[in-house]
Amino acid sequence: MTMRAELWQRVSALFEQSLDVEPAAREAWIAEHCAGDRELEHALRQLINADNGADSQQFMDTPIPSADPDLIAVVDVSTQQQFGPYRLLRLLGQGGMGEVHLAERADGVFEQRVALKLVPHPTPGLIQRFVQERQILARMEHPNIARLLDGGIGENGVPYFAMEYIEGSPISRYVADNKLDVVATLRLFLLVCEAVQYAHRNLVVHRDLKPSNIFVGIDGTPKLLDFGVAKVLSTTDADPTHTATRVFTPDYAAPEQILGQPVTTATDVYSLGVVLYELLTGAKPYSFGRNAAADLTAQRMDPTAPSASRTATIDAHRRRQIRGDLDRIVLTMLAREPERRYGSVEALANDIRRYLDGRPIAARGDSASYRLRKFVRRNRVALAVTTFVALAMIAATAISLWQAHRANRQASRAETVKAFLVSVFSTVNPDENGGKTITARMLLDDGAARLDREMAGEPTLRAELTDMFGNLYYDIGEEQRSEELLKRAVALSENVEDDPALYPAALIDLAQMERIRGDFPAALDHEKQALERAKAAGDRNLTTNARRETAKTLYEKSDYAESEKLFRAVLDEDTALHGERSSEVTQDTHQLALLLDRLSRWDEAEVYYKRAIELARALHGENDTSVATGLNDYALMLSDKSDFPRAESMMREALALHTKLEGPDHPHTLESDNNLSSILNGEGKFDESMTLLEHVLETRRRISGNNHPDTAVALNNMAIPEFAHGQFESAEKHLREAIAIWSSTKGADHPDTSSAIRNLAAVFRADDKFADAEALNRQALEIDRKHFGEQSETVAATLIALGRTQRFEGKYDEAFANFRQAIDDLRDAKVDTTSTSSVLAWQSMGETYLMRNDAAAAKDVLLKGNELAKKIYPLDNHHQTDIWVPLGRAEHMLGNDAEAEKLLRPSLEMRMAIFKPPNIWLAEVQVATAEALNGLQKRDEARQLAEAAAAALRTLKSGVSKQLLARAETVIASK
Amino acid sequence: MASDITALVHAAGKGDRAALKSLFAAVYDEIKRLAHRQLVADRQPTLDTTGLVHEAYLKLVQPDALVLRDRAHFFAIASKAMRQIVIDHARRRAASKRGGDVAHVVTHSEMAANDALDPETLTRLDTALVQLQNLEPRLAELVEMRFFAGLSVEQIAQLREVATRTVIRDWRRARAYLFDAVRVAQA
Repeated sequence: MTMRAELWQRVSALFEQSLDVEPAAREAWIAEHCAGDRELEHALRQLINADNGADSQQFMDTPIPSADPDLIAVVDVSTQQQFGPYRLLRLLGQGGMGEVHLAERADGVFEQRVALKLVPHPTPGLIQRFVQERQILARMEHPNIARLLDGGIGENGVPYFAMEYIEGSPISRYVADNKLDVVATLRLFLLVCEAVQYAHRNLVVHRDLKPSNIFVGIDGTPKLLDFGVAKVLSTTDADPTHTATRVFTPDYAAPEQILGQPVTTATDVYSLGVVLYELLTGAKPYSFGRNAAADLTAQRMDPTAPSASRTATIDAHRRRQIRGDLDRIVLTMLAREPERRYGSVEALANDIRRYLDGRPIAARGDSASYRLRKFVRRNRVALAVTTFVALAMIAATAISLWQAHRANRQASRAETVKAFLVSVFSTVNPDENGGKTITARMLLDDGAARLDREMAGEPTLRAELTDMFGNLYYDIGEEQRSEELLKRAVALSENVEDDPALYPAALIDLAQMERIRGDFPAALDHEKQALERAKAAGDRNLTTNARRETAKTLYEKSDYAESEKLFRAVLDEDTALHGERSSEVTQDTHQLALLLDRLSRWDEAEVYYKRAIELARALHGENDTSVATGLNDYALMLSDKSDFPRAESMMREALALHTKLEGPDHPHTLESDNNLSSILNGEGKFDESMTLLEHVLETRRRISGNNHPDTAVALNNMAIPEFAHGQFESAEKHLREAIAIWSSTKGADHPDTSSAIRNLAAVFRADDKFADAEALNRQALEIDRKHFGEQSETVAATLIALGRTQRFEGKYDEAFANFRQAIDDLRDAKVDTTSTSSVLAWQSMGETYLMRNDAAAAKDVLLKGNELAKKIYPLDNHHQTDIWVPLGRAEHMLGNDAEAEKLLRPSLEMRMAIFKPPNIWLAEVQVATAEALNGLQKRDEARQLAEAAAAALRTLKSGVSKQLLARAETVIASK
Repeated sequence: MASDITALVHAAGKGDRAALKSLFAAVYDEIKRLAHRQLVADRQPTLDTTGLVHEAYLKLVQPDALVLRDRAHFFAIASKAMRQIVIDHARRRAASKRGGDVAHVVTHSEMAANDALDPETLTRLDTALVQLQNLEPRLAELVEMRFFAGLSVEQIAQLREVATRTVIRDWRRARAYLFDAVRVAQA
């Protein structure tokens, strides 16, 4: 049913009313209301029929996700179905590392079904472990261990290997399904022990023994599977902490795994104990996952004896059978301290055999005092609501954040921290959610409260987790809360003794937050403390990190000289520490490029940009976002240099990469779109530029919504070319919307809001609405002062903008005062010889003198501006003409037309190379040159220039353009 | 990938909002895998629909959007994202049905039972929804919220600050329109 909106309105209104009409009366009702309008009547009947049809077919009655979850769970498994000679048949299982598929040989050589294991999302770490698993399996030749058959790399680079496919079931299900008695269970279990023992003799610890990794085939033979997290024990084992693993299954993991302590063969003994407990009783010794995190940490409680298990589903007879010796055997396996367990699987197997033979067993059981050990009470799970997806997402963020954050941290606390995070995000029972929604904030609040309660006795863990939660709060935009926690983390970690790196790391995190807020003194102070502590701790990575962070703060604070010094030092250190081809050096190089770019030291910056891109390519290959970012930033610099053709092609390259790697709607892609538009605008390709900006704005609205800061950025950027092309109305409209969005999302006194206000002031000024412009300039100034303090580059720029408005109102004294103030501020902020605002201040002052016809004074200040411009911009950059043009005009007014020509001709050339008419800056230099040439009696050339300018100026509407037009007409009229 | 995420986390920690967003995007992939795993390993017959909206929420979340004043606005966007996820997938499946690759790992046992959920019907529904969007955007949005995101009539009424009766009536108008459009397209 495609129809006109107008018809739809009428039809759907009638349809709605018809719902209240008795079916019997409906015919008459339709006839009455359609009043002979056949089109309307037809459409109405069609809709009513459709309503009936939809009813009877229960059309769309069930929301899609409930009806067909497969629609949502987009299968991300590699779409490749063929690996080497194998064709995938179906997914058997998934683990943290990879997937196991049932597959068959598809090359006709054999008919063989195999279990094919692959890593669908390979990372270097996963591949390393994967390869290790293959090597381990290759060494294992045992009837109770699944055999490795084959291995290779799939076409898409996904590694795989084929193992013997065991048709059967996990041992726990096998025992339950076949109702095995205690003796049969133990005999089966002994075969498992033999396999584990064999692995141990080959110096392999399985580390992930659990029923789903022990399959019993149809013939009753148990087979050990999945050596994915297995560890090859080093015979020397110089550094025992390195044997700790980060991957384990909580229910079956030994305490030392949870605590990140060294893993030995006793670790497998423990896991086997959990398995045996489960096989004998049908229940686990304790249930992990719904417990408080404390259970996971040190205080994993002592399990009840299997025969006393309250959750066990066994009869009295079986209980009696287990009581005594089997209790002791299992509890010995489950001893918290590894040294109190069986010394080997062999010793364990021997004890089971003794039991089966009716001989006394070796295990002595626990002493009473040991049993009395306190354990922390289980906490009632306080998280109100959850859904696994939301939780898993935050958990994954938390964990990756933590891993990134603590990459170099000692391993001993690793698993405890991870376990806590997992418990925060996974202990909630979805059935208890009562339909309420949960926010990330709620989760974090709860986690933070729990960590204070449960980690009270663990100062190191508490400090580390507090710091991590501080960072997570930042991620969800809760900046105040983030800072609170980061401050607390600093306080908590100050006196931690067992990890000297914790305190400086917390200080650095806090400093980052302070830098973002613009509190540079506090940030620098904390970075300094961090540096001292890192040095004292002898941690070179952290020392470099503290220095790098300091360099960034100095940069933000506009202390460029110091920042540069430090960045260079850090670059040297990182080169020494990590080698040149490292991501650290790549980042440092990029940072330096940005800094040099900021200082308009473009030749140097170019070297560093090129180097950073080169390094990124060498490290990550061509297709990497870091390459795209490098290209993007380099292209922006070329654009600043007005090297638009190169900037355009490079930005297009960056854009293509971002699109390819991240998709067309990704923020990075949109940024490159946006940057390309500004380059196109610079090239005078106004229409192309606007089309691109419209696309960006439309996408932002769609992706981020109408009231989102990113949408405001797009609106603000739309206004800039519109302003430059005299489309003041739409520029004003877009800026007003941007201001409204920023005010409501970031606050009315946020610097982003003030930047849009300043832009709107510029539009008003160009549109001759000076009073309005001045009011806005003042508003922006107030915000910037509040935010950046009295003396800053931003405030200076805002002061200059105010002065530039005031001079059009004839408020020359105020304008001069503001320019001077800006110059003083820039000097006090020590950026007077680096900031482009310096040039603008002198230029504005000179232009204002010219407006007052004081050419001598104008020349005076413009010469000062010229000195600065030579330092700040490259000599061949068109910004030099910002000074040359008013200076040339001053010379002309002073009667020095030859001098004026020397300044104005090259200015004209430079601007002609960049701007296409109609353009106000091009017209400005044309008029000024025409005036000088007129004075030199070069009348024809003067008139030509003036006429070209006049043609352009007639299409531009601002007050400035009218004044220029009047001057051009004077030249044309002169004889 | 892990190092990318690490770099993103690093950048995000420095206040790089773009990095933060791509971090979430990266984690989103992981979530889809988790959702998939939940379905395969735990054999859950259905997913919690609110959970999926939250998935979308976190997919779209911006640091300062989490304290969301305009919940209705968010749910509309999330629902649109849900629609996108569903339709993209339906398109892929419709394509594979037409003799493309045979890549499907999960079985679609419910497919035969419910004609309305046939991938091709779904893609037609999507086309009709675009037309409806032009006629009356709020109706299209309602369909996204109710049908694609699984929000209840009550929830929608609350979000839109209207009576449930209004939502039900709007729903019937939308459903009738779509039923007709899908049926016509089919014929």
